[in-house]
Amino acid sequence: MRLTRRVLLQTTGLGVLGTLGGALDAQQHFFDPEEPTADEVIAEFADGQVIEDRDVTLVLQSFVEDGYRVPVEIHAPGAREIMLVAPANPSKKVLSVRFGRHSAVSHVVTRMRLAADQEVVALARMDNGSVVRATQKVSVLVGGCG
Amino acid sequence: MTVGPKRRIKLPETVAAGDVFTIKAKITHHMENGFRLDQNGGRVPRDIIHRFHCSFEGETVIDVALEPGVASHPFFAFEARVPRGGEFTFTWYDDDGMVHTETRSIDVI
Amino acid sequence: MKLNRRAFIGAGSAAMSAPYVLAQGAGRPKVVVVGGGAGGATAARYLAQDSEGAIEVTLIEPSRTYFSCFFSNLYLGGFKSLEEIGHTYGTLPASFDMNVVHDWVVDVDHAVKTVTLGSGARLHYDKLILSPGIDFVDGSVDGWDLGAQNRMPHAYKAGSQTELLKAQIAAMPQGGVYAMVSPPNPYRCPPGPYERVSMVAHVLKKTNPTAKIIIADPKPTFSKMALFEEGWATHYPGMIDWVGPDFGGDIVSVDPDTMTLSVDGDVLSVDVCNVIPAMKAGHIAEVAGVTQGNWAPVHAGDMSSKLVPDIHVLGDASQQGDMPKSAFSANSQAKVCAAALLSTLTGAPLLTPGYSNTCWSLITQNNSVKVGATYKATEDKIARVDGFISQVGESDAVRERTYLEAESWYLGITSDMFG
Repeated sequence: MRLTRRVLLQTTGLGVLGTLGGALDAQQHFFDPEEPTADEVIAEFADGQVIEDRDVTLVLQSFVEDGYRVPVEIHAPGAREIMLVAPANPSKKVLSVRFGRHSAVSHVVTRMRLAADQEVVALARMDNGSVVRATQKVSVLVGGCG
Repeated sequence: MTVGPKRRIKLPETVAAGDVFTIKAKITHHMENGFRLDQNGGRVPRDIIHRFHCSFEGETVIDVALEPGVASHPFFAFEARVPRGGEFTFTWYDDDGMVHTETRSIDVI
Repeated sequence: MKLNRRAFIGAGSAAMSAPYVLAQGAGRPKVVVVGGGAGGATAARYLAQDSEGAIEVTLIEPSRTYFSCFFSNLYLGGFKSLEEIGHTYGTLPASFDMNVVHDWVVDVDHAVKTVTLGSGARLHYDKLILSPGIDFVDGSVDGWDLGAQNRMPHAYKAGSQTELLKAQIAAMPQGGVYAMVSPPNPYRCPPGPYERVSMVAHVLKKTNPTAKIIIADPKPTFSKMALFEEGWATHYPGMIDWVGPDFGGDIVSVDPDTMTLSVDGDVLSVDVCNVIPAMKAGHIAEVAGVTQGNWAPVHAGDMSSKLVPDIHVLGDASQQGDMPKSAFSANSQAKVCAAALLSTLTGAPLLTPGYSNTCWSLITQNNSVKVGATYKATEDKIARVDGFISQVGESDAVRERTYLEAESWYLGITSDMFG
């Protein structure tokens, strides 16, 4: 896991954007230019392998009322390791899972955060070293009441 | 009563040998992503659970590296299969250095 | 009551531009409004006020004092007295040319256009507005029925149930358990149960700090979840345990005799059990024939029923598209409906309908969060245009301002409703 550098801030109110050199989204997240990009995260996982679009299923709604706690499921039978990437989040890598000896199925269900509309990427590394991918476009609403 | 953030785990008490079964695990943790700005325009520092590990009798079931994109109160559901009865260990590693552990036994018939 | 024959132009559809033609000597058009809540009282008031006597408006409401469900959580939290959320109806007939009748409507005959009251009287309508709120779905919480509401109150219709719940909270033993069974979607006031939990936690923190709150929820997420979780972690750490469907929050049964709650097979002894069952349109809507399933489908342009002509349905009972079931929504819909009827019945000009909603929730003293949106009528439904929501990490000043907005809104809506 690559550590990212954190920037310590002076509290200058409105001047903070210039100081940080970053951007804000609608939820007032700061996007740190020091954070690895989605491409960098994916390339690191792929480690030189060609990525093929097969053999992994990403289960994710295409429209969510709220990006706070979004159910997501990744299923990649035979995979040793999987990774989830959210290219429009402030931190692109969401998680990676290594399946061990007592794992019955290369399958995990979890809940993720979605900062904005984006195409979420699930990657899997199979036992033979090949790397596969599935993607899902998601629209995120802001301010749904219920 | 367990000390520290609340944990919830669900798995069967007894399974038949060779059966696949589901384990659910959740820990209370607000998962501060480190990208929010506070009232003064400064960044609220990151504070997350960065690793969740489930093992059975010392051998890995799953090992998760979490980043800030995992939702608050990280929840995982996954499938396991064990050859005999024994103990599962669930470990959560917090950015603040704390390590939270739970164990659960399972009987295999 | 004598039936008046009417000759009228046009079917009961959304495009009402032709004025309503009355037979010679037939008198004023009659609009009967069933339900004196945020929808009904607002509609009746504006029809009476804006028609300046051209429409005969009758509002039928069984309660003589209306305790607003909205802000009733604040009464539970000790921020309002019961009197502050209670309103009487006398100002309406005193200020506007309208009739207020305190009775139940027990039948609607849409073939002959009459409503029958509990007292036996029958009233004719030319247009009927139903705003009956909600009723609970039988059997939706295993082990609970209305007969158990004194032991396990819902307090989801304000008044004596709210008083009861407040007394039960005060009587909890030190270290006791307040349990809530939260309802499935859709239901009245999506953030309501969670504002209630915040208010109960606020009280317990002061009077019973070792007490615990547990919520069994069939919903995987809830309205303003991030904001409530932030609030609970900040102000009531360790007190509140939310169990969603991941851990069986949808597999619930209760036993009012033993005061136990079972969540996914785990049986818990509780001191207070606030059961909020699944909801449906107020029963009279079903009787009137305007419901399909649990709710009343309506045309987005004027809230008229899709199933029965000359009936409009407002507020919680309606299938209101993207709008939530809230007092603010009901009040917004009532104004659109009143304007549409004014146009149909008196030829007043009709403006394009616009809807809006804001839901405020009090987390702790002077700390409120909100979510809201604007909406427009489409062919299909009332559709969301854009929205807003409070942010996690907002300053105390922003939260206090949000709270003051809510107070201001309460004065406004109750003034709309009661004159």
